[in-house]
Amino acid sequence: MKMMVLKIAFRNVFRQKRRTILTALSMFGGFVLAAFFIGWADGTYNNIIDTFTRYNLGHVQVHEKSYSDRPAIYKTINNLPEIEKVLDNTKKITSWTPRLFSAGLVSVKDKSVGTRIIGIDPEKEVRTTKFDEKIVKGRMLAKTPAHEVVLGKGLARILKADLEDEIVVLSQGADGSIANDMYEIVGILDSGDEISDRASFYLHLTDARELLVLEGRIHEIAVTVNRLSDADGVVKALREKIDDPRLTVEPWQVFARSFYVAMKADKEGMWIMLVIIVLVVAVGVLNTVLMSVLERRREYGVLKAVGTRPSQIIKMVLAEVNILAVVCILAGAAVGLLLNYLFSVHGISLPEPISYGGMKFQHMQAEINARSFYIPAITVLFVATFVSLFPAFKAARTDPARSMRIH
Amino acid sequence: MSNKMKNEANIIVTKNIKKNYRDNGIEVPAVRGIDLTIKPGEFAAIVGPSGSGKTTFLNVISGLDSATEGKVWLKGKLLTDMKGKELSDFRRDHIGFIFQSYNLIPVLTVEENVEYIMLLQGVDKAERHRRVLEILKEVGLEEYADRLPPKLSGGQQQRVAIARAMVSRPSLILADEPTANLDSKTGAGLLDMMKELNKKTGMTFIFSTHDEMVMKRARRVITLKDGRIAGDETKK
Amino acid sequence: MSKFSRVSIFPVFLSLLLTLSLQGDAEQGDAKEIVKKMDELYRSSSSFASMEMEIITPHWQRTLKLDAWSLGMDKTFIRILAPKKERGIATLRIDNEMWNFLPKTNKVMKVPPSMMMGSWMGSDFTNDDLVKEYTFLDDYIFGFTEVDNPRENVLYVKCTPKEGRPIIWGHIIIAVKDDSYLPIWQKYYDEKGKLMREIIYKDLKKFGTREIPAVMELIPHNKKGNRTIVRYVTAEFNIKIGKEIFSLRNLRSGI
Ligand SMILES: Nc1ncnc2c1ncn2[C@@H]1O[C@H](COP(=O)(O)OP(=O)(O)O)[C@@H](O)[C@H]1O
Ligand SMILES: [Mg+2]
Repeated sequence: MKMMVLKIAFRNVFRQKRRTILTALSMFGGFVLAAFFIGWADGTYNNIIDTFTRYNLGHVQVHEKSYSDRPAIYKTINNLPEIEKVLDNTKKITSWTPRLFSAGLVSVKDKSVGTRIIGIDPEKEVRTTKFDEKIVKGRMLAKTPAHEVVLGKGLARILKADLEDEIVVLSQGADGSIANDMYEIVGILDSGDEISDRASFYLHLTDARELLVLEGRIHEIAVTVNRLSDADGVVKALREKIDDPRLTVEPWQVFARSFYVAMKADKEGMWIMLVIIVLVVAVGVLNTVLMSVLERRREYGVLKAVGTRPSQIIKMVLAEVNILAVVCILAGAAVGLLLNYLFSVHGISLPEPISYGGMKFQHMQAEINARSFYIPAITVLFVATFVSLFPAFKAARTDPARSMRIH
Repeated sequence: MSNKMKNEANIIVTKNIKKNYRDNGIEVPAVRGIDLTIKPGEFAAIVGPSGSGKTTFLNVISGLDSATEGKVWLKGKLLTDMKGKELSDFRRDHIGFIFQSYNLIPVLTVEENVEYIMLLQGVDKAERHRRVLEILKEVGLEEYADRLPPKLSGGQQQRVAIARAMVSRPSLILADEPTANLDSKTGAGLLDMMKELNKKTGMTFIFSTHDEMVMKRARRVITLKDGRIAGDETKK
Repeated sequence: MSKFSRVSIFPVFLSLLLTLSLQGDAEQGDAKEIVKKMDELYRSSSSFASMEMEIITPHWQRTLKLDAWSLGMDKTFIRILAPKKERGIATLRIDNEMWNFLPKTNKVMKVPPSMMMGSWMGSDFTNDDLVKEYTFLDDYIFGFTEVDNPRENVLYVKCTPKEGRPIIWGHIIIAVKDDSYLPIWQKYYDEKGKLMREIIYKDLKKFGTREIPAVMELIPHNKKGNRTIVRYVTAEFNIKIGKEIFSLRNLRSGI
């Protein structure tokens, strides 16, 4: 009997061609739209997250435990060699780099401004965050300390500074002494983070340590992992292995919390798209299924008169809709896959970069992932089924005696 | 004869059947008290002008519609007390229906239409196939087994309906104006076939009609008027 | 009342000037009258002082030796003499502009407006404390006030900023001796009335003809464990000071 129910459902699909095509178009269109939208949104967001994490902050960071809440120059990591060993022996870590931070006053010629001082290890920083690729003018710091600095683009503009200019830095050492020194500007950096670029300059870790009287110490270790999803696992592993209650290991969701929250909130916007799709599919399906059921009342009457159960009629109606839905999803998946593939390979470069959380993005691209297929598939199936429930029950309740009087 | 025994010996016994429809809050009496007994193997016609209550009466005795008052026994079982699944299964196993028109499921072939009830009953495949072929031969449509109903003439469609009604071997075939949409000649031919099958299988046939040509072929003619029996003649 | 403000603001001169003015012939009268007289008195003053600035934090403690010159209310020059690492670092302030000289790089660096709230040489004084040309008399409304547990022979003056003035304090309370008008302490409150920092004046000492508190302790209440103590070693008032001291050229010349 199951076969018979399916047979009837299947053949009913092809009965009213125009109506079926209309229903199919709404399901197919809804699916493709959703698949493309999700693939696109995920691709773009992951691109943004990657820019923010892999190419700037890192996926995982190690700090003195109260540093993130209230940064201070003396809240340092003092046992770098030990931690280095742990980092090198932890799986799924792509790379890591040490950093040192402070704040100070810098001046170039007669312009001066307050900035962030960032000490980096040029070799490790390049390996970890591709720092050198973000230098838009000049060059990277030399591997050995040479009293050189790289300026954020915005900071260079504010200071009207250019390559080869001398920059004077005034700050305070960890011992309270007045730190001051002079460096040569060798590079201008565009990290994509406008806010940071407006207020940061970078110098060799060794130079920074000397300036700030922080011999052998650092404030942060930025770690990148193989895949974004590895971050939590690496955090767990590091927390276990780093045997130092003074330190804390955090994933990007924590240390870039406001970014993470904004990103999550933004991703929620995806559901608006899904709601639109749900509406399109729902209206398309409800309309046609209801019409079919009303038209076939006599048939359902005959079926019930000869002993068909209401549940079997419900299955018949739902099967009909779902057969169509599955076909539409398969066709939609093929088209969606093609679209997402094309846009993941090529992407779109915006004429004007958009700013997101202070970061600039100019490239948008889709991503091929399972989500962008199963979410719309489940949505289409669920909506089609849900919307058909009412007509299906109506069909199942057909009164044979009454339906027979319709001519 | 006790009442019970009497009911068991007959295919149908009705007692004071009444059926009122509610139409815009007004009670419309369609059947106003019918007592009738049909014996096994009868070939009976229910006749009467349009609106006299033929369809209503047939629906009530088949359990497609509930009676407002009165009782119906079908093969000794009190049908008017049955409900839902029990009623629907009982109907499936004991009554074959032939309706005036649009009897068939248009997306199923002739063979599948005929097979349908046996599927509901859970008859196995080989048996189904055998019986379908047999009955289609009986109604002269063995060559049309793979056709879809819309490709058949009206007469052919009604013959398929007869085949479907009979294939599960119910004790009773109910046909509400089976010839109404056919021309006289075809209608008469269909009736001859039904009569032939009645004779051959001993199944009880009750059909309604307002066609003289059709009426003449019945052995018993029950006349309805305003929801009451106005005449009940059996030919010798 | 600029001296009041300066006391609060610039450790070196302010207290001196404040004291100076308070010691002057201010008559009894309402708070503003006193303040006004001091202001007038102050305008003609100049000074030189040699002092120590001890900075205490939970993480380190150090002492700077300074020489400081002032002229009028708008010029200040300070040079650090010790410790060795900082020797020669100097600050020049003219009106509300400020420059630092860094001998290590031989450069003069102008302090941008955005850094005015930053610390001066690691102390608890801000650059702003040194620089801001408060027209204190104009910016505040003055009145005597009551405090909890008042001491005898002490006057409490409450200074409330006039509306629309760029002043970060909600109000300031100054405690002075009722006879000499020498300051005892000054407390700075934010808009919600929370005590943000206080300055305590101690150690009366005679410099020339004037007796002033020689120690001034600044306690910022938003930085736990921090303190800055200024001690006057020598001080001279109303002396002749050449204008050339307060020039960028002099700033650059080093020690
Ligand atoms: N669902 C209904 N609601 C109201 N009145 C009905 C309904 N069905 C039938 N009737 C009325 O009941 C009477 C009997 O109808 P019916 O049994 O169809 O007669 P027949 O089959 O002899 O033409 C008619 O007057 C008809 O109008
Ligand atoms: Mg009728």
